[in-house]
Amino acid sequence: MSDEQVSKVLEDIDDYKNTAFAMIGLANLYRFDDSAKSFRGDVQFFQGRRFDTSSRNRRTPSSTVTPDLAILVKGQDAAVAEVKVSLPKDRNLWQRVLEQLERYDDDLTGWPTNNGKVKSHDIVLMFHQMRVALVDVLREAIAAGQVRFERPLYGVSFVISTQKDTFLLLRLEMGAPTFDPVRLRLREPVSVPFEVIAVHYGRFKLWDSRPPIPYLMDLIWREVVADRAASDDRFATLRRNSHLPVRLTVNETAEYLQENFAFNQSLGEKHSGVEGERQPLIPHSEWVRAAIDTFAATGLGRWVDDKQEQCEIDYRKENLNVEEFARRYLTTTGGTEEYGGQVAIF
Amino acid sequence: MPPLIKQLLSRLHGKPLEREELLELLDTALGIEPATVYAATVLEGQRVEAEHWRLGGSRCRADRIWETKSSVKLEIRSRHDPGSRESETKYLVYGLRHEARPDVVTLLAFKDRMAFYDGIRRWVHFNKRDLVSPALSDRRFRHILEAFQGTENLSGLVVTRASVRLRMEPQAERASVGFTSVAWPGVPLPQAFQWVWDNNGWFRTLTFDALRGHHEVGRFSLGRRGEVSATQRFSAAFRALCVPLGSTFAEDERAFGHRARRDLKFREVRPLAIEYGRGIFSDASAIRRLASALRLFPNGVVSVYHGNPYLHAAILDQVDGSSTELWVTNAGRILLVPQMRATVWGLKRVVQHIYDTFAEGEVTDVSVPA
Repeated sequence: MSDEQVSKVLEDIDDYKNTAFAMIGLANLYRFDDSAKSFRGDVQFFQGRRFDTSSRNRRTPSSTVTPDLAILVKGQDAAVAEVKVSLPKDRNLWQRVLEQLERYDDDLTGWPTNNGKVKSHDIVLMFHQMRVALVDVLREAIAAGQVRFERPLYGVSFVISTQKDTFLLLRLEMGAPTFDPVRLRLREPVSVPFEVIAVHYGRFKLWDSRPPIPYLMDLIWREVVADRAASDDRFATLRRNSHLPVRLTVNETAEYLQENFAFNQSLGEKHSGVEGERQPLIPHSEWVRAAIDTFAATGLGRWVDDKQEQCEIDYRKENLNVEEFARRYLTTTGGTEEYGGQVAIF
Repeated sequence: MPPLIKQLLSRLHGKPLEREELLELLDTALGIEPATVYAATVLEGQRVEAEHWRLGGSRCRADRIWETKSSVKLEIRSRHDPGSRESETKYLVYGLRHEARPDVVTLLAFKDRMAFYDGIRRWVHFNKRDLVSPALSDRRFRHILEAFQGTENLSGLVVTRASVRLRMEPQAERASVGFTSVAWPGVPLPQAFQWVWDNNGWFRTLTFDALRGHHEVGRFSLGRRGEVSATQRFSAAFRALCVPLGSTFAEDERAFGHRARRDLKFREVRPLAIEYGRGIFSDASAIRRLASALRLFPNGVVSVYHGNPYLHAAILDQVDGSSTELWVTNAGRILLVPQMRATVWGLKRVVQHIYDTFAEGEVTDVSVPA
């Protein structure tokens, strides 16, 4: 395990967070009423929501799609977005992104409306400004008939910019949004201050893609393990060379993180029934199991049953931070498999 | 030992005494024989009452000898080798409850310097979750001293000794926080503060002679963590230094309280900011310096997710499990976003660490327009 590998893990964590920031930035664009200088009350946004495709879908007929972000304004103006922070070096592989986008060009079912449908929706391709070449590839693919869109399609780039303050800069790169306020705002680049992200969306840490395991370990350690340990009277006098065992189950840990750190509680609503089925449970139990397994594999705990449902994590007052979890992860089978020979990206 | 002192000590070690009786007795003793009262003001956690003051482990623990409505007497046993009884030293100390806030107690030792350093301070250190010490900013520190001068109708405070800590220098991004001790015979208070500000430092403790006219009425000291000493009229030091120290707890509770996400209806965030009122982070090196300073946090562990050009970190306080995120995305302030378990004193420790190692600002509630 080298410092470069640790840096790579930390870069992946950065990418994971940046993707969340981009989704938040786009959602905020729809939510924020520029004239009233406040949030619109009638905007719903969903991360990783499952939609059913129709039998006429050109790519995946009668199937399910999960766009990164779905936005619904007043039950009528709608958009689905795919967000790309990084792309493979080989441009031939970008075709998959475009095909993925084409899947959303359909009369999707699964909107929170009476019949689960909307009249139409925009399709949004959101990408890092460094990947703006994707727009050319998309235009060429459309011109060549490789992909086709019947619904409005627009592309918006994002970049994190710091001058005096730090903000997320959104810029329209192709097409135009249907929803008037967003179209008007995107006539010029829009800057979303990072403080808006930290304050108004400060609870969202996990979205519908497996986070780097050390990031999840760090979150579980701080928000679950230390939190439980701190409720124990022995916590206050715990010495540096000692530990406090904390019992957890995979499911309760996953549920706790789902309730408090996932993207989808944006409106303070509990989803249940059909609505709940469309919303993914983030983080998945498997991700949590992988994080706990890394605690166990690196001497910070153990499974207490064969099914790997219950575990005991040893809380310690040591310098266990995200870098240390990255180092530990890189010594495990999962870590070496993941970071031993990954596909190059830029 | 003069007979009168013997008599006073015998009273001190005898039957339980209320706060005012203890203060009177200490003033009398200090008037007879040159001596010092050493004191530390703390806020009691819930366990103090539940455990009847029996806090601590094998290294340092206390037992209650007696307790009245307004005072308490404790025996602190301090061992530097937990396995050896021979290394144990016993100290008798007293606690005075504050009238306005009975869960604030000033612990004190009479004459016995070791009872303070090896007894009281060590015991408080090992039990910092349950015995919270004040932590003063420069502004509070100076305000308390100036108020002391006014309340006691003093003509001046002359600094005789100061121990100073210097914050990290911009060039020394990886260095630890510096420490120096300076003696300044005859320096007036404003001059001492000017020196420490010019040198980007703060007073750990400041010892000064209190003057009324040209007459010295006693030598006192005040520490940034709430330590007070007096060679005369401890009752005055108690009322004009210890009681204001005690009232800082309420100020901190107002600033840092009710921010745990767990306690909020939608588990939303209730952030706060340290405002600097100037573009302190306009220079990117300031962010690196803050990140380096955070890594020195003695009470917990810090995960830095992003350090350039903006700062995003998560801080776990290992004293009570409090958790907060920290952002620097604005040139003029640090944003703190408390998480599920966020305690008043956990947040306070983070802010105080930033004050001690980076720069002092003003804590404010945050309202960010979208």
